[in-house]
Amino acid sequence: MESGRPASSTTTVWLVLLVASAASLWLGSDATDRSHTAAAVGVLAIAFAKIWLIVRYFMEVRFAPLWLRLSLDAWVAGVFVAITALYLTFAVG
Amino acid sequence: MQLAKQAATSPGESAGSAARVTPGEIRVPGESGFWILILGDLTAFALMFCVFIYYRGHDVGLYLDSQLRLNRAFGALNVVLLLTSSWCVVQGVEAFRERITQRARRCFGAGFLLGAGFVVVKVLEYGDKVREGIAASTNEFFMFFYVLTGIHLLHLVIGLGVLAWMRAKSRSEWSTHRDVALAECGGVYWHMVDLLWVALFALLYLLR
Amino acid sequence: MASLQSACVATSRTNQLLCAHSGLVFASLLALGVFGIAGWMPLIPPGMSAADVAMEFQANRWRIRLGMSVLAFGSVFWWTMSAAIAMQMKRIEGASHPLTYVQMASSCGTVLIALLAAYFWLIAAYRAETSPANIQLLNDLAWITFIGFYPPAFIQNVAIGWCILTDRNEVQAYPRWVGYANIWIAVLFVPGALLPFFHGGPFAWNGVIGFWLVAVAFFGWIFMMWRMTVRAIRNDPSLG
Repeated sequence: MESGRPASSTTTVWLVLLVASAASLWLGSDATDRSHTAAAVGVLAIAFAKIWLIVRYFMEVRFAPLWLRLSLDAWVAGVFVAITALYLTFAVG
Repeated sequence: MQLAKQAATSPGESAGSAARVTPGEIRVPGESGFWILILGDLTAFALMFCVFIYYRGHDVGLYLDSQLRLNRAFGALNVVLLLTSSWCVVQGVEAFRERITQRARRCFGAGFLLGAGFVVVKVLEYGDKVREGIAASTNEFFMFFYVLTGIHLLHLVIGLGVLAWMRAKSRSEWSTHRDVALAECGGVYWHMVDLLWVALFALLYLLR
Repeated sequence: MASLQSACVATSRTNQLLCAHSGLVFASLLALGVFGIAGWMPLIPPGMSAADVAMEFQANRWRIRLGMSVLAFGSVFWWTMSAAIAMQMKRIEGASHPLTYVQMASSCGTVLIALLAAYFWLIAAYRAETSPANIQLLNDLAWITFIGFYPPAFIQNVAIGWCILTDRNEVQAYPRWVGYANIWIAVLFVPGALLPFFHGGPFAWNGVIGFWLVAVAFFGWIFMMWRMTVRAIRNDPSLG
């Protein structure tokens, strides 16, 4: 096992991803007495944060040139904003 | 022709050496052209996600009710399977680059098995739904459920083929820069399959 | 002798360029015929009743027949454009060129799409006074063929993409990203498989995914291959 190499940081990311998944599972279950809207936005935020981590660390985009990093960041941010905006537009009422 | 092509160096890699990556070195994972496929597929899925939320907005009650009939456990299990599978593939690509063939083979094999596990869970889930009498024509929510997860499953099955190829390629000690680039492409594709499931899990199973 | 040789080369180059440019003719005539003359923008919805479909064909029979005649004629320019691409693929593959055959053969599929659909619509307008059920059937035949007939286009693009990505020549006919783009667009055609399952919604023949995504991919592909094939002809060392 190579220690101190990128491998260990991806293991950390994997653990973070698992914890985040559990958190979003909790948020998305009806067991919470939070409003649906806040929980839903939380679920989306966690999901896209996970996606961003996968892109950065698993796809190794953190070592990629600027144009690629920006394109992918733009996708993650753009889709998150679009979905959240659409969700909120229809969630009221 | 072939030898001339293979001896050609790409920036940052010295000719004839193992395709060693200097930690922190700026380079495109795989190759630039390949990202058209990834960004393109991501855009197509993004469109489908937005279409889903848009249609959902017109009948929220139906979608909330139907969502309760989904099996969260299956969905969550699939998330864990794919995240872990992706982790294995990352290790595998690392090992492939370092020409540690045994480790690469084991990692790709593990990634493949976990991905195959996803397929099994999906089949069980679809089977359950069909037995309950729920099909894609039942209502709008389930139309999206079957179509979106179905398209994702197609991508995943192709990904399994890619992983099998990568495992087979790890067999020989002698692999070229091109092989490493292709293996990285394969890894990136698999991570895309993983992240698409993360999105689908949130949208279909968790969004209330 | 040398001047005859160069004359042949010049003719070959001209013919290839003509074929490459014909892709635009195909796209223009298709758009003109279906959307312009027949006026089907937005498209006839799959959920429309037989009576309403029959009314559409009775009310607009002249426009429809004219538009469909334009579509039918324009369809064959897909062949000429595919021939230009085939020349490049043959250049890439060399003596043993199976992918070139795959591409050329599968291009017949897309020609058929346009031809068959045009004739189904023509016949519906020809006998517009027949029963609404007949009209609807012909209309369904045409639309599902026109938009959902994806397997030939899929394999055509996969062949092109695979050929480009396995190009081992010194002078690359097409840059590698074009190969990847072909594979991606091939995948974008696959939602055509969903058309027979839906009478409405995003996956139907007039839906966001069923039509718009596929249409943008289709026309985008024509534009890309037009530009990149002309470029390839210009950088072909055997054509001087």
